[in-house]
Amino acid sequence: MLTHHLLLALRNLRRRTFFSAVNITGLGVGLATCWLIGLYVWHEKSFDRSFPYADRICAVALDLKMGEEEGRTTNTPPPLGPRLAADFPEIELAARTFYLQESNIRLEKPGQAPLSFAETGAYAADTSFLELFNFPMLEGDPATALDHSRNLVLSEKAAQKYFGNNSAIGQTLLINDRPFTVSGVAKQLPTASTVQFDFLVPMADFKVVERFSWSWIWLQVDTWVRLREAPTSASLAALEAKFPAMVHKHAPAAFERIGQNFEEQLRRGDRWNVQLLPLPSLHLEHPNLASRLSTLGDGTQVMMFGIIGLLILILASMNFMNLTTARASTRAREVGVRKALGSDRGTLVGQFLTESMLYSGLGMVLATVLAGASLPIFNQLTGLELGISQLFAWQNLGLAAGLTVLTGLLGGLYPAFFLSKFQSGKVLKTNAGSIKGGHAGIRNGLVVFQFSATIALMLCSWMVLRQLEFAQKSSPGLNREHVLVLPVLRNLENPTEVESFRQQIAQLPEVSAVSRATFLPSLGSFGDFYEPEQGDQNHAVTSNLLLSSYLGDTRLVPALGLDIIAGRNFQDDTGLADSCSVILNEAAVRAIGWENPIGKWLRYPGNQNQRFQVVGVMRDFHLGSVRTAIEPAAIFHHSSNTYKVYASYLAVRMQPGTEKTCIEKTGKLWAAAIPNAPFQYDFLDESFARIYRSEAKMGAVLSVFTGLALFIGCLGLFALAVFTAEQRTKEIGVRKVLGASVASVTALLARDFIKLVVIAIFIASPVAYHFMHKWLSNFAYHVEIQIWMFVLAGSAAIVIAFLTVSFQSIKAALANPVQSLRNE
Amino acid sequence: MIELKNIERYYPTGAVKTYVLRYINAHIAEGEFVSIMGPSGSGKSTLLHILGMLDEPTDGEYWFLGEGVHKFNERRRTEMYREYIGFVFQAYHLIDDLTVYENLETPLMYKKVPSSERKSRIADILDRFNMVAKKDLFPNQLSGGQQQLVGIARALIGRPKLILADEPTGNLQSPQAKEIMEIFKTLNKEDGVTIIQVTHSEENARYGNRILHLKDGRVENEELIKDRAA
Repeated sequence: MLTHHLLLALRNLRRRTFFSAVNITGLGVGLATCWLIGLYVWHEKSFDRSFPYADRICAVALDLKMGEEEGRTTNTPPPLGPRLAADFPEIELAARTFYLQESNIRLEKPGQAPLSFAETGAYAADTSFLELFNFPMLEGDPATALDHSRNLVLSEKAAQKYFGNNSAIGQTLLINDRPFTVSGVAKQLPTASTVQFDFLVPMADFKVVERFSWSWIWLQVDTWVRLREAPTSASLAALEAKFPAMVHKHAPAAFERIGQNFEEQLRRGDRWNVQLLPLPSLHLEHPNLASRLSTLGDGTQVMMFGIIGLLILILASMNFMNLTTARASTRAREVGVRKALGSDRGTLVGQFLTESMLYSGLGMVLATVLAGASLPIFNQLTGLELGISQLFAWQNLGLAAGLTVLTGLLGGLYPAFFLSKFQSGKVLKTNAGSIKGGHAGIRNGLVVFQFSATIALMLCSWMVLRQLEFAQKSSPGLNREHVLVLPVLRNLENPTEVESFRQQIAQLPEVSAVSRATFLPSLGSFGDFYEPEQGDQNHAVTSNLLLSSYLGDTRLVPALGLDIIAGRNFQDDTGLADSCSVILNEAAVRAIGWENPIGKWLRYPGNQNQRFQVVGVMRDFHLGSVRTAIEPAAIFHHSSNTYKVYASYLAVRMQPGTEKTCIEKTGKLWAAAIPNAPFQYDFLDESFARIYRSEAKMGAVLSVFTGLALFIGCLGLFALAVFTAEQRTKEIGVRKVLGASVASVTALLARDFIKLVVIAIFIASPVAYHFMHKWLSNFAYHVEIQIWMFVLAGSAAIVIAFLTVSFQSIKAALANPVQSLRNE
Repeated sequence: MIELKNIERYYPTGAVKTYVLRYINAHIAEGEFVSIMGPSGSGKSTLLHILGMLDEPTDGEYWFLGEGVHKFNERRRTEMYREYIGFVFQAYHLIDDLTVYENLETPLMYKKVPSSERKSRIADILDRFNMVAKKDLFPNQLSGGQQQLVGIARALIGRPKLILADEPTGNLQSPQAKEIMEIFKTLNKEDGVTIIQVTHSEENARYGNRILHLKDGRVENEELIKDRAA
């Protein structure tokens, strides 16, 4: 019976080539989309599951509130890890890592040019780090590989890159000019791992962490713990409940050292809570975590992609449903005959399901081709590195098979039950054709659903793209364009060398200003507490303020295109005039509450009560993402020596249009000044754009989804239009004979479809509004949702639908009535 | 074989019932060849559909081989189609996507006849109808008369006790019509198959042994065909 069903389905498919092609194309596109998205969702859900101790490992996080600032972060202070391991028997191991920023790694080769790269995957780690995760090693012992000073553990990829197929053990690599000896090679970590590294060196070799071993404020390390037993939520909560006692015992002394009363601040409502985040849920369940872990995902986004992927498949199945039920009149007769020949309903359902499965199967064949072809785009969008062979790994083929069956059922069940219900008597009584297309109401409903989904997607992706553009381009108070950024501190340790390099670049005719600064907007800032000069009784002034700050010179303001709206910029480089000066942004002035900020003083308890006088106020600019409100910020002069950090940049403002030559010339100067490191540069606008990677991904994925939904929707609409025109051939003929014009016949045919699209617009708009409103509220600064956007998107949908339908309608309207009426 | 008692069929149109059949009483014995005649709209097709269990009477009782059809559910009706009843339609109603061979095979598959027996039965019937050469053609490659031959072959292949034919020659030229009627006659005489046909043609009706004349939903009169009765 099955072969009989299959044979029949195949003949049917061949006989109605056009409808079959529409069905298979739609299903193929839907299946390919759903399949690839399924792989992505699967990958995201599988994060960190592969480590043997995954269920016992937790990331240490802080839930902080300090004054106005609050949030959760995996950025932790150095003493926390050792304390946790020492004080709590539940914790078996603790390990910290310290990110070394972009580092120069160099392999000296006698008699040859050295092999040198700027690497982003270098970390200093506690000796227990490898053991805690139990990373599988290719070479070396995870328990001891980081035990000795100047040891170095490479990832498989890094070992391959520097040493090829030779053993790396015992070889020497220079990290920022300091030699390290390879003591281990870790097996390549899966892409679905939160922790990623290429170079690991002992923490002890980086004194800066040790220097801050007293500090519960310096949140520059990441801390991991491994528990003795896999925690339950209750046992985790019980353990976390013991942490405040530890914090109260050790943290106050550290805060006192910077002049703050920790207990007093907590009483005022601040929070400083230590939390443990279990590794298996770390990747997806903490999207708003401030973290250096760049691999963290967003569970909501992943779920959203999954749902939309499925939606696309449903839209494609609907085409199948629609076209099958539309053809009910031709199929009804067959059903009637078969019933009269003794077929029961189950057999007929089986026949129609076989048919839908066949279509779904052929759709899958097309989908494998499409998925394979779009793999590069898919990898680019998702950041995965999926190869063709992985696409066809057996688990993935299992997913594909599952999707095929699901689609077959989705598209086939309704038509199967609908068609098999026909009564022989009613169907066969008349010769042919009096059965209506069948369930036009449901078909219209499906078209409305398809277009509602498409229009909602269209609106959402448009809004995301607009917000993305706003976030990347809109930059009041700071000119992001034409700024070249050179990381220099680790390349040139001596300030005079940096200054001479800076001057060389400044002399290039393409350059208008070069400034040396610690940190830059979008690349981070230094946060610390300051005490503003108090006002009188009439003007309340805050007693304590968290400032994000940059250290710069006189040229930072012109180089970044900052806007001084009151007072002045720094005056000279000697520091004689400005070592005690500070430039605040408007947000800082507002937060402090000063009426006339110029000339007022700030005290910095963190550096022996150093005092700074406000010399200027700059217009607010975004320090980082537009997700958060602009924070109070300040620029101090280098000569203040208020702090030293591990990141220093040259910001080069180029004359517009000269970027290419400017970079070439700067590269030559770099090669002369810093021969040991490859030339590295970045652009300020691109660095800002990188903040919005997640939004950019969402915008891109949504656009692709929108395009696919639109394609599938139009495909279905086109086929329905063809079908309707076929069905109404006689009516059209009669109307033309009675004197109808081509235009009026076209309108007659198109009107029914356009009506559906209009209904869809009214359904889609509030839905899209709801989701967009919710999404935009994540941003402190965002574009507004405006009514004209809905009008424009709606009009676009109508135009597209009209073009789709009218092609067929016009063709039908132009047909010679003699042809269509002759058969009667 | 067939017992109709006060069969009525009406459709509610507004406040009034529109009767298609009224007070139909009939008895048809096994081995009969009955023709139903009457003007358009007299209800003859409806009566045939009721006899074929494709339609249900609104009132009255229908007994088939001693069983009350009014008590049948869909499954039981399907069994009847498989075991006892074969249909021949005016519009042939062959399945367009199947070849002649496959069209003939379909009812046997529903009857779950084993494959080897299907083959031999189809071979027999193709031979009997002189259509062996046509077995791989599709219905649209055949003439109307040939299609109706396939339709009759398909009705016969399940070896039914009763053949219901709804104007079987209505779309055919007279020589072909004559051929079809000869086949019916032979079937009835030699194989003992009960045949009930609806027809417009007095000539065709006379192939049977009895004619029911319908008018306005009632049996106006019954006519026995003498030369056949013997």
